[in-house]
Amino acid sequence: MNRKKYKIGLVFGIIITLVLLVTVIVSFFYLPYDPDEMNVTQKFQAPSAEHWFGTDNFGRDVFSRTVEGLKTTFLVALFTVIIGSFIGTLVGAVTGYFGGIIDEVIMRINDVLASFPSMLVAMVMVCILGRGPVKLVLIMGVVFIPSFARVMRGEFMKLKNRDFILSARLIGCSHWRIMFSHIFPNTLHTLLSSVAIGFNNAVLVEASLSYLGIGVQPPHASLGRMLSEAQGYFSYIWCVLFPGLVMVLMILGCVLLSESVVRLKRR
Amino acid sequence: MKSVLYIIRKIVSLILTLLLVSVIAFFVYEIIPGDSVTSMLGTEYTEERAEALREELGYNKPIYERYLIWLENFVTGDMGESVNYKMPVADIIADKLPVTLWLGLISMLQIIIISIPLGVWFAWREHKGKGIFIEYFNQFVMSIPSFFLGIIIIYIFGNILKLFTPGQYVDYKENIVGFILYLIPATITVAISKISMVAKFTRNSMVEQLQADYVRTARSKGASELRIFLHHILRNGLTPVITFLGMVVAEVMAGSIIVEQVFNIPGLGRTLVVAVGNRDLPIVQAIIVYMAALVIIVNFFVDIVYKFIDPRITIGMGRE
Repeated sequence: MNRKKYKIGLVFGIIITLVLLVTVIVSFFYLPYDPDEMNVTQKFQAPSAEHWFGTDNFGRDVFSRTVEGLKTTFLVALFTVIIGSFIGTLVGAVTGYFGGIIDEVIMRINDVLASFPSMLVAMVMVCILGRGPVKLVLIMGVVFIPSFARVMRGEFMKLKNRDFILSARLIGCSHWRIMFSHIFPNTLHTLLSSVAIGFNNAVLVEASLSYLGIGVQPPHASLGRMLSEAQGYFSYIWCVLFPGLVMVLMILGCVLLSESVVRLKRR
Repeated sequence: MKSVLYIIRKIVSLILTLLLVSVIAFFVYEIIPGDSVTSMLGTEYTEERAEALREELGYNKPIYERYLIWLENFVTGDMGESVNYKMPVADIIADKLPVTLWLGLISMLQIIIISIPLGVWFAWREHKGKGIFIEYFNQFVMSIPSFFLGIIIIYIFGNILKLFTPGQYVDYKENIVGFILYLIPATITVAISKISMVAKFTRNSMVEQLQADYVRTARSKGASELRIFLHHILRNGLTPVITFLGMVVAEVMAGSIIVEQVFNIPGLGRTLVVAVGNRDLPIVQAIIVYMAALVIIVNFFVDIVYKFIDPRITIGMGRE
C-alpha cells in the first residue's frame, strides 16, 4: 500500500517536472509573444484563445511572461543548486572525513548560518553586494552551501569508519582518493535528494526575493515580480493566478520527486 | 546534578552562538565595498577631513577594539543611526518590533493549536490504512508560496467577500483590538503552510513509533488499538515535534517578512525590505541581530523544555 502510494507521487512528480522542463526548453526557441512587448490597446484582456493567460496592465501577454519568468526562476535555481552542492560537498567531505578542530569551527559557523532562514541570509548579502542576475546566483549559491555541507558531512562521517574504507586505507590509498572514489559514490542518493530539496528552496527564495523587489530586476520577467506587480490591479485575477499556479506546480513537482525517491529507497 | 550541568552547557553554548552572530553581523558591516567616510563627506572630501572624521568615528582603532565598542553600544541600545531616516535605529526598531512579535505570536498559536491534532489524525488514518488523498492535499498546500496565498486571501476575503479592508492598517498604539483583527488574515497566511509542515512532521514521527517494540508488547498484552495509540504512541511521537516547533519559529520570522509586504503591515520585515533596497546597513544589521537572537533564544528554551519532558536526553546527546 505504501509503496504504491509513493509510486503515484513519483509519477506525478516526474510528469509535472517534465512538462515544466520541456516548456523551459521550448521557450528558448519559441514564445507566442515577446514577453516585454507592450500593446496598450490590448490591456487587461481576459484569457482567450489568442492570449491563453490573458494580458496585463501594459497589454503584455501573460502566458509568454509566465514562461519567461519560469525560465528565469528555473535557471537561477539550477545554478544555485550547482554552486551550493559542489562547494557544500567539498566542505562536508573535508570536515566529515578529517574531523577535529577545523570540523568543530566550520560546523559552528555552519550551525549559526543554517539556523537562519535562507531568505534572511540572502537578503543581507544582497544588501552588501548589490543586485544583478550574476550576483543573485552567486549569493544564493553561497547561501545554500551550509545545508549541503551539513548533509554531506553526516554521510562522510557515517561512511568513513566502514570496513571497506579501512581496507582501502590499508592498501595505501591516499585520503583524497578515499574521499572521492570510495566514499563519494556511496553518498550519491543522499546528495540527489538534497539537490531536489535545495532546488525547491531555491525556487522559493528566488521567487520571494523577486516578489520583494530585491531579486531579479526589470526588464527580466520573473514569477515573483509578476505577482507583486499584479497586486496593484487585483480584479484582473488572471495576472496573479497563472504565474502563482506555475510556481506552485514547480515546487510541488520537486517535492513529490524528492519525497518519493527517498521513501522508495528506504524501504 | 546532571540536568544542572546540561543547562549550564546549554547556556554557554547560547552565549557563544549569540557572540558568533554578533561577530558575523559586525564583519558584514566591515566588508561592504566602499568607504563610508568618503560617502559621508561627499563633495567636501579632502584627505585631512577624511582623516579627522575617521579619527572621530574611531575607524583608526584596531578591528577587535572597534568590535568591542560596537558590541557594548549595541547591547546598551545604541545601534547607530539610520542612513535614510536620520533617526536612531533603536527608536525605529522599538516602534516596529511589537508589530512583528504580535504577527509571529498569533501565527505560532494557530500553528500549535491546529497542526498537532491534524498530524495525530493523519497518523491515525495511516494506522488504519486509510486513503492518501488528504496527504497529497497537504503536500499541495505546503507548496504554495506565502505571498501567492496572501494575495489570493486578500482577493477572496477582502475584495469579493469584503470581510476586511485590505491596506487599512490600524496602529497598535491606538486600537489594539482593531490591530489584531487586521493581523488575522496575515497570520493565517503565515500559518497555513507551516501547519501543513508541522502536521506532516507529527504524522511521520508518530508513524515511526508504530513499528516500535513496545507497541507490539502492548498489543500482545491485549491493549486496544485506540489505547495503544493514545497512551503509547502519542506520548513518544509528540516529543520530537517540540524541537521541530522551535525550528518553525525561524520559518515564521522569514514568512512574516514577506507577508508584511503583502498585507502592508509596517513591521520589522517591511522595514528590513526597504532598508535592503536602500542599502541602509545599520538597520539591516540591527534587525538581523534581533531576529537571530530571537530564534536562538527560543531554541534554547525549546532544548531546556525538551530535556524535562524527555529525561533520556543526556549531556552530549543534545546535538545531532
